[in-house]
Order: sequence, then structure tokens, then C-alpha cells
Amino acid sequence: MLERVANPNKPPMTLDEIKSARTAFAEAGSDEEEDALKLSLTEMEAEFRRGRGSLADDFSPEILAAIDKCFVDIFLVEEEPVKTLFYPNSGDGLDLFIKYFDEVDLIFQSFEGVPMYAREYFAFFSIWQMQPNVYFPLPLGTASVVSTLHKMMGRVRRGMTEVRAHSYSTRF
Amino acid sequence: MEAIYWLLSRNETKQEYKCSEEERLLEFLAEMNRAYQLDLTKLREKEKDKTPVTVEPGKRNVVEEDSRRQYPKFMEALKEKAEAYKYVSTEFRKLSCMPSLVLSLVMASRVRKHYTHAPWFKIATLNQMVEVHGAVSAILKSMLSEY
Repeated sequence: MLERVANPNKPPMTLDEIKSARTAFAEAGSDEEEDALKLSLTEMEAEFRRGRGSLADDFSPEILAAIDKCFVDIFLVEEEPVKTLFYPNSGDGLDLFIKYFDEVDLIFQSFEGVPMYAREYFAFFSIWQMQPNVYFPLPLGTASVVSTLHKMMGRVRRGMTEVRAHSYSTRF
Repeated sequence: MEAIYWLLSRNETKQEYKCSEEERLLEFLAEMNRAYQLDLTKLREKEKDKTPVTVEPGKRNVVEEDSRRQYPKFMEALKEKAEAYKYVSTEFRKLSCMPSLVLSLVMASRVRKHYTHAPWFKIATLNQMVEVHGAVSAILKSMLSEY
């Protein structure tokens, strides 16, 4: 995902337009409204998925460390993830993500050598409703995010067990 | 040149200073990285004259993201490794059967300070990851691959 944020192609929407779309998604009251918003972002989505930067060349370890620190500060308490992380329909979780998105955006503004359109593509990435099969906002994949995700998934190991489609559909 | 460096850096004579699993992991990823770099060069050349493809909102462009199509040399190199590890007892056997995970690790290993110095960047932890969520459903896999 970091490579998509480093997309070198000019986005078809301005930062303000993307942020307005994000607010509109948050305020959407029905599936129809969301579908209409998704349609309005088709071009932006295509551009987001089309181009890629390079993880190694476009992000310095210092920028990644700063983004990682943001995640640790906001989502971890004494090295343990907050309960609302990766949890759908949680108001508290969404509030924390708004804070995370704002702080990462601030990092993109304050560091040198940030990819040219990182703020725009990151703002689009923060519209999690546009990501396929995603039901809650996601942080950027920095080192602590990987270890936290592994820790959380290790605790629900049985929940990760694959069930055959047939038994899944007939059991209940 | 890099291959000579890895060969020379290995101690093959003194038992007590043998190459560690972590060094072998980096060596394995460096080898995969070479194949990945070749694919990347071709991919960039292709992207220059590519016509845009329209994808339905919320859906992914499967062709675009199929690593078998995008990184054939990488896939070939990994397949060779997987074959070589088939009859050898090694920590890398599981990993070599997980192309998307190895591809992510190759990308991550290029940002040395941030990822390779992370506490989870060890073959034992990576194998645990493979065991816990290595064969999860397509939906979860596609969510995880967002990273």
C-alpha cells in the first residue's frame, strides 16, 4: 500500500476534493448514497491502482519510522493493541483513525523527500470504503503494524482455520 | 558480484561461527530480489506504453495484481528454490511455498533499517505467520494483501 501512496502519476482529484469525498462517505446514510460516492471516485480509484512508486526508493527509513511511531502512539497501549483496532463499526476506532490519518498527513507535509502526490493518494487510501473486502480503516503497513497484526491473529488462531465452503453453507 | 560476496561472507570452516538462520534469510531474499529486479525493469518499460484499464469501483484488477504475470522471473526463481528445498530439512521450505509472502518480504527487505531490523523479521516468526494465517480465505487474503 505504501507503494500505491508513492504513485508518481498526477491524481485526477485535488486533495480538498478527496477530503470532501471522505467526509461525504462518513456522513452517507444509505448504501445508495455510498454507491453514488463510489461511482464519483471511479477515475481516482483507477489512477490509485494503476501507478506504483517504490517502497525502497520513495520512502526513507526516517519517514517510515515516523509513520510507525504514529501507529504505536495511537493504537498501542503498553505494547498491546487497543480493542477497537481492526474492528468494524466502532466509533472509538474511527476516531483513532481520524487522528492517525491527520498525523500521517502532517508527516507528509513536514518531511523532505516525500513522494509528490503522497498526501492525495494517502487521503484516498484513508477512504477505506473504497478498498475491496475491507470493513474498517487500515493503517499503512509499517513494521509495528505487521507485528501487531501477527500478534492479534496468533491469538485467534482457531478463527483462522479454513472451513470448506460446502460445510460452511450447510451447517446453519 | 553479490553472489561472491555472500559466498565469501559464509564461514565454511569453523563450526562455531556458521552462518545464522537470519543471515540465510537475508541471503535467500537477496537472491529472490535479483529476480524481482529483472521483472521490475521489464514492468516499468511496459508501464510506459500501457493503456489505462477501467476497473469497477471497489473491485480489484485481477490481471494487474496477478504476481505470476507481473513477476515471472521472480516466480521462476522461487519455484526453483521450492524444488531444491523439497527434500531438505530447512526452515525455508514453508516460506518458499508462499510466493506472495516472499514477494512482500523481498519488497520490505529493500528498506533495511525499517523492516529487516524489526523483531519479527526472523525465519522462526515468519514460519509462525505462515502457520497462523498462511492459508486463510480469499476475502481475508485480499484484505491482507492491501499491505
